[in-house]
Amino acid sequence: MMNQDRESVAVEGDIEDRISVLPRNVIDCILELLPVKEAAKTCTLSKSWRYVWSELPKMVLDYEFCDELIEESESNSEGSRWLEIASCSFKPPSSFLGFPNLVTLRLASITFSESCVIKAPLLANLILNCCDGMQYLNIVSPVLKSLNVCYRHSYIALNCFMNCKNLRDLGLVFAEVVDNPNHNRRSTLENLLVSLPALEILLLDSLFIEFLIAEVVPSNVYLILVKGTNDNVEAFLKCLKTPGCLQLPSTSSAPSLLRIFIEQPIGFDFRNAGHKLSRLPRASPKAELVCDLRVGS
Amino acid sequence: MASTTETKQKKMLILKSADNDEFEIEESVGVQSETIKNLVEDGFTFVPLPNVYTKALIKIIDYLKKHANKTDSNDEEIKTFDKDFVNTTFDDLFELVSAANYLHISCLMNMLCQTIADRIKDKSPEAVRKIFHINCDYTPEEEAKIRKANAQAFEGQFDESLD
Repeated sequence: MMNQDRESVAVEGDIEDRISVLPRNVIDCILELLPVKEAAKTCTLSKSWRYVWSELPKMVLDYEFCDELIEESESNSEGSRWLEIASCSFKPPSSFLGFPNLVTLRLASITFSESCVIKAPLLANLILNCCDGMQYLNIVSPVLKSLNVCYRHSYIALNCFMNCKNLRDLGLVFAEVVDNPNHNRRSTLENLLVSLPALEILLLDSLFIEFLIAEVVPSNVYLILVKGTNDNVEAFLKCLKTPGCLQLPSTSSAPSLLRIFIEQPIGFDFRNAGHKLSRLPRASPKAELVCDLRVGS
Repeated sequence: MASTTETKQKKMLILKSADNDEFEIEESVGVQSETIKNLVEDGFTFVPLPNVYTKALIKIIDYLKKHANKTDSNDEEIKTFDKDFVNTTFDDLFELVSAANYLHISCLMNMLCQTIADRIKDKSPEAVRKIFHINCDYTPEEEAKIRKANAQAFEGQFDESLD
């Protein structure tokens, strides 16, 4: 049956494929009006259709789709422990019950434009990559172990993570912190850090280098990574040279600290500064300062 | 051809199709197309449409005339007209949607895309290939692999018809 179909298509092959006749915006418009499952089916039509549906400018994950996703997550523990959503705006219906079995969630290039509560009671790993409107996001995940936020020009409201008593691994790169108007940026991150007793690994953007002089690093932290950025090389180095900067975390505030790893800012020769820095006296005798001298990639 | 007196009262436009047929329509009818509107605003009254063939242009002019006279009372009549308008073959729909896209008539474009979407919904990949005249260049193994990777999308029954 299938072979017969193939042959008859080949006979009609002299008529040009509609994807090359219809403008791409018309194809997009047609596929956008299909339920997402139907649009996804077009990937098997031919090689040129392989990724058309996945590149649609607008895709609505409708009720039907979400219901199925949730149903599956309830019935099939393997299938939905890991979820990655990218390049869309995320507005779950008010009836959305969250992801009861989800362990790992990666949200990339998502726009949140209204208050959004995601209940994920088993969520252990959360990656937020280049998401806009993170201040609207409220992720209820009491057993979260790893949180990584990466974005250049966004803000993250950290309040929903204040109760993550199991958080071991925190990364904040290129992100600024939304503050309570009564507090400065520093106090918001400070508040978060002091409320994370299990924290062991801290990856901070060099915007946050100043925190290394504050006595806020939780006592179990054994590794701090500071990521260099182009934007504030000057401020970053000035801060590093400030007396006392790397004397902290001190033995009293961070007894477990073994290593502070500083990545070379991109486009900046760190060699001299790094050498000097590594010889600066530090209060924490165990803590080793490592400067990454690889040319930034 | 419209009479001279009428031409004086109402501004007229001439549309020329890809196969060189000319059609005179009222400006108020034509400007529902953004493409025509822009040309009219630049002072043109003769509009060559090298991407629109006569067969599609006749239907589109019908559509524009009907929709230019839209009032509250003829709502039902227009709905019936629209229903008949899209009740045609896939090839005609593709021809019309290309023309509507070129002419930037968004309401027509949406209606045609919705019709095509509704009619290819639930169709088997083989049926959709025939409708779009797509040559499948996957090997059966490649196709099976892609189907497997997107298994969720291929659940349920397919419609094999081509209408």
